[in-house]
Amino acid sequence: MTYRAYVAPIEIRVCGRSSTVTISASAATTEVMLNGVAVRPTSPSVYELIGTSGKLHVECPEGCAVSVSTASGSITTRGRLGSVRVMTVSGTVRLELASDVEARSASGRMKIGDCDGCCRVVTGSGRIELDSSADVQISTVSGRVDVGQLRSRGAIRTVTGAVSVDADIDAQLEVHTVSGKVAVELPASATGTMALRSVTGRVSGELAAGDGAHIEVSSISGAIEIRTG
Amino acid sequence: MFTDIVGFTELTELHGDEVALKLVDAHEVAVRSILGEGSRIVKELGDGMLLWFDSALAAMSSSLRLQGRLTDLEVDTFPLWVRVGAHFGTPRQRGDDLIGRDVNLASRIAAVAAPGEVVVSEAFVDQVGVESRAAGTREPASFCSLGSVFVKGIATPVPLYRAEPHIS
Repeated sequence: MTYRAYVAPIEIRVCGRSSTVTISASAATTEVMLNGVAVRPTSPSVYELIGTSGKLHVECPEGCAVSVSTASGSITTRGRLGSVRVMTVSGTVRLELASDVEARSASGRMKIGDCDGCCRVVTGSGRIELDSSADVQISTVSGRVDVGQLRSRGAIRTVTGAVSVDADIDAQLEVHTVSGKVAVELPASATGTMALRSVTGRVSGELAAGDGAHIEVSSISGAIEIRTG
Repeated sequence: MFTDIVGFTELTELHGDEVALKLVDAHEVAVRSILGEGSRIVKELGDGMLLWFDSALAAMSSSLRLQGRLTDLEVDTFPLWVRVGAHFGTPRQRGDDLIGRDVNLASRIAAVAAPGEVVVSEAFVDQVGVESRAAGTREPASFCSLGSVFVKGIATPVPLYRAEPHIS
């Protein structure tokens, strides 16, 4: 019988008030480096990196859990990471690949690539662009929301922000907005159920009845359009 | 604890003062319905409120109850989306008002929350744990780390948590 030692996943916490933070994950990297210099963990498996301005470039192994906080500095991740948490007031956020994402900003724009699991994004006015995720939970006041591929389920709330979602054939999607325009597109072969309601906005929906997708959209004045094709 | 109606300015701009008034009234009714002994509305802030509780455990339970009540509430078809932020501290009293760093921090924490969420500080999480153990009860929520956030006027980033009710 063989035993494998338990190795705790590496967690990297980065704080940079106005620093530009870049995190590059690579399978070829075995240690955590800050601006080209290897750093020691502050506690087993946890690295705390703090900067106030300038550039913080962190290199780490793939799959690390990352938590980044800035006030105005931008945050960029490259390569495959584990759980990613980012908080910024006004910095732009660009995340490439993560197992799950929790991202918040007041006005910073969010551009997120592929998220395997749950992608939860909260902004005040920042635009949110997400390429692909299984589970999407998005909330914004006035930011526009674009989801390139919703693979499983999604819940999106906006006040004035427009919403555009390309959903998979069996997606379960709920969108609530006050005045944002909502456009959802499903594959041509999709069937399912819809519950669409707009008090004064135009509503148009085409989805053959059957099992599969469930699309629920409510708005006060925003137009709603559900398309297949 | 601070509550704040999400998108209130935009809603008022789009749909007028009558809608704004109805939302504020409904918000007040909902908040009053969750207040018990040892808690009070310190002040109304137009589209939000500052609330005081004499225990973090009570504040936690009350805030979750508030969000539960607001989940599907509509006011003349308009959603009432509220964010809640809570912090445990020792504010100074000035008449009926509360002032100080802890009040400022609670206000900033509320701004981080999404509609329907309760976001709390580490001090609050710790105090809920202390009071739950003392009372021999289970904590009313689980706490999911959001990482740290830079808050205006405070030098170091503040660790925050999202409170989530246990699924029964």
